[in-house]
Amino acid sequence: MEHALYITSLSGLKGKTGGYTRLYFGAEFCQWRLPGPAMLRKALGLAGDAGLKFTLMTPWVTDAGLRKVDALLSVLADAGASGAEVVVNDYGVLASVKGICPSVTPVLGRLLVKQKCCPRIPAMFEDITEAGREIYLRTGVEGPDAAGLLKKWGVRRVELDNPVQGVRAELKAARLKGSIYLPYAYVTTTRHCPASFDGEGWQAFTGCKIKGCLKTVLALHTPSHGARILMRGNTQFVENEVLPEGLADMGIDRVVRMEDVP
Amino acid sequence: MKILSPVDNMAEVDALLDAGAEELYGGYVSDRWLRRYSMMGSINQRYFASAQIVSEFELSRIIKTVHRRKARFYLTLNAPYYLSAQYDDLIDEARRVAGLGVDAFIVTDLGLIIRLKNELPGTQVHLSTLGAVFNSRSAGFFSKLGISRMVLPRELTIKEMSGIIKANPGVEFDAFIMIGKCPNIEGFCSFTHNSKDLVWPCEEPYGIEVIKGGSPSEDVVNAQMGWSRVNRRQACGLCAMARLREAGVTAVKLVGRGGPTHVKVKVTSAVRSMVELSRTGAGDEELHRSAMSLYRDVFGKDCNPYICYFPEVWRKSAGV
Repeated sequence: MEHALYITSLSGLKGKTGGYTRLYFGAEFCQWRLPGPAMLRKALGLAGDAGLKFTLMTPWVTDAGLRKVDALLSVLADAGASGAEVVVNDYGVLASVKGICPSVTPVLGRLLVKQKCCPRIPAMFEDITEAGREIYLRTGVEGPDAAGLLKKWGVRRVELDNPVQGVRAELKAARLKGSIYLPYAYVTTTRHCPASFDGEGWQAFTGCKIKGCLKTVLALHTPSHGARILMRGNTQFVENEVLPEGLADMGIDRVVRMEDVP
Repeated sequence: MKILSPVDNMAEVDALLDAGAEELYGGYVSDRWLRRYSMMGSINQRYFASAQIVSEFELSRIIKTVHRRKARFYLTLNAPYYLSAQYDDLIDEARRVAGLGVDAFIVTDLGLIIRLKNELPGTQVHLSTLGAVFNSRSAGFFSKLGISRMVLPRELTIKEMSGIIKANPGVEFDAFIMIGKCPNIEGFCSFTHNSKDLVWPCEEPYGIEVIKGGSPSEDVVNAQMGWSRVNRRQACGLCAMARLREAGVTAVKLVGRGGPTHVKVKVTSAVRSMVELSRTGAGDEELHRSAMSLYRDVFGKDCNPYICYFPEVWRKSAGV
C-alpha cells in the first residue's frame, strides 16, 4: 500500500514526510487557491528533496481558471519529474493535461468520481432495496464504457472518498487503480463561498482576495445529520477515519492522508 | 430563445404550452426500476415521487400532446452515475421510451452517453447540468462524445457563458432562469434530496461553530446562514434575459419538477413576457422595471439579490 501526504500549504510539509512516498499539493475545489508557477516549482523542489513523487491537485475551473492551470501544467512539463501526476476535477483540465504535458499521468479526482457522501445516507439505508444500496456504496467509474473512455485520455487511477456508509468499489474489473482519502470525505462545494463574501457579493465569482478559507474551519450542526459537517472555504466534508476492509480486493493501492481540512 | 419548462403530468401540458413553453422536460421511473432500486436509486436526479411522471401511459399521452402542439419533450436520465449492472436495464428503459417519441435524453453519466450513442443511434443526447461544464474545453470534451446541447451550471456569469458558447459553435446551450437556485454546485453535490418534508440539507438552519482560526466575520456566518433565510425556490434571472440572448443561449430553463402547477405556469408566462420584451430592444431600465414587476406578480414580494441567478446584471440595472 502506497501512502501519500496531501497538503494545501507548503508550511504543512515540515517534519511530516516520514512514511510517505508521494506528495499531493495544489487546490482541489477553488481556482483562486491554486498556487502560482513559482510556488509550484518550490513544491516540486521540496518533494524531490524529501524523496517524494509529486501529484498536483486541480479544481473545477472557468476559462480564467483554465489559463492558470495551463500555466501550472507547463511548469510540470518542464520539470519532467518522474512519476508526476495531475488530479483532474474538470474534463477541460483533463484535455489540457493531454495537450500540454502528455508525459504527466492524469488521475480522476473526487468531484468527477461522484461518490455519495451525504451524512444523511446511513439513516436512509433501511428504506432502500439491496440493489439500490449498492449505488451508495460503489462508484460511477467502474463501467467498461466510462473506464474505456477515461483510459483513452490516459486515466488509470481514480480518487475515492471514504463515506460514512462505507465503500465497496470494484475497480479491478475496470482495470483502474484507486486511492482512498482520509479522514475528510467530500460532501459538496459551492461558488457562493461564504469565506469570499464581502458584504455585497461572493468574490469567488470575480477573483477572491479575502481568502478566509486559509484560516477558518467551521463545523455545521443539524439534528438531521448523523455527523457534523466541516467547512473550509467553499467546501464541506464529513470526517471518517475508519478505513474499510479489503482495500486491495477493491483495487485500492494508495491511501491519501490529509493533515488538515483541505 | 426558447423556453424549457418542467412537466410532471398530463394536466399541466396545455397550460404550460399556452403560457409560452416551447419545450418540456420531465422524468419517469418505471415500476420495474422502482422495485429493483427504490426511489433513492432513481433513474434521474429527483428522489421524490411528485417529481416523476406517474406511468408510461401518462408519459406517452404527454409526448403525443406535446408533438401535436409542435413542441418537444426531453426525458431526464440524469442520475449522477450508474453501476455496471444497471446499463442493460437502462438501455431497455431508454429504448422503450424512445419508441414513445422522446425527442432527447438529458444525461450526465459518461457510460450512458456512450451506450446511447452506440445502441440507439440517431438519439439526441443533451448534457445535464450535472455534467458541470464550467469552461470551453470541458464543453469540447462532451461535444466530441456527440452531445448536441448542454445545460450550463447555475454558477456561471453571463460573460463566462458567452465565452463557452462562442468557443463551441454547433453546440446548443441552456441557461437556468427561474426557481431552484442551489447554494451548492449541483454537478458536484452529494447531498441527498429525498426527505419527506422536502427540506434539503443545503437549506437547513445549521448551528455554526468555529473550530479553527479566528472568529469569522459576521458577513461570513451570515452568508452561509443566508440560505436558510431565503426561499431558493423563488430564484430569478428575469432581468438578464436580453444579456442571455446576446450571449447566444438557445433556451432558458425553468427548474421545478415536482412543484405546484400554478407556479410552473405563472413562471413560464413571466419568462415569456421577458423573452418577448428582450426581442424589442428595450433598454436596461425598462427590462429591469418589467422584471421586478413580473417577479412581484408571481411571488407577491420583491426579488432578492441573494437568490438572483445573475447578480452582475441585477446590480448594473438596479444601479447598485
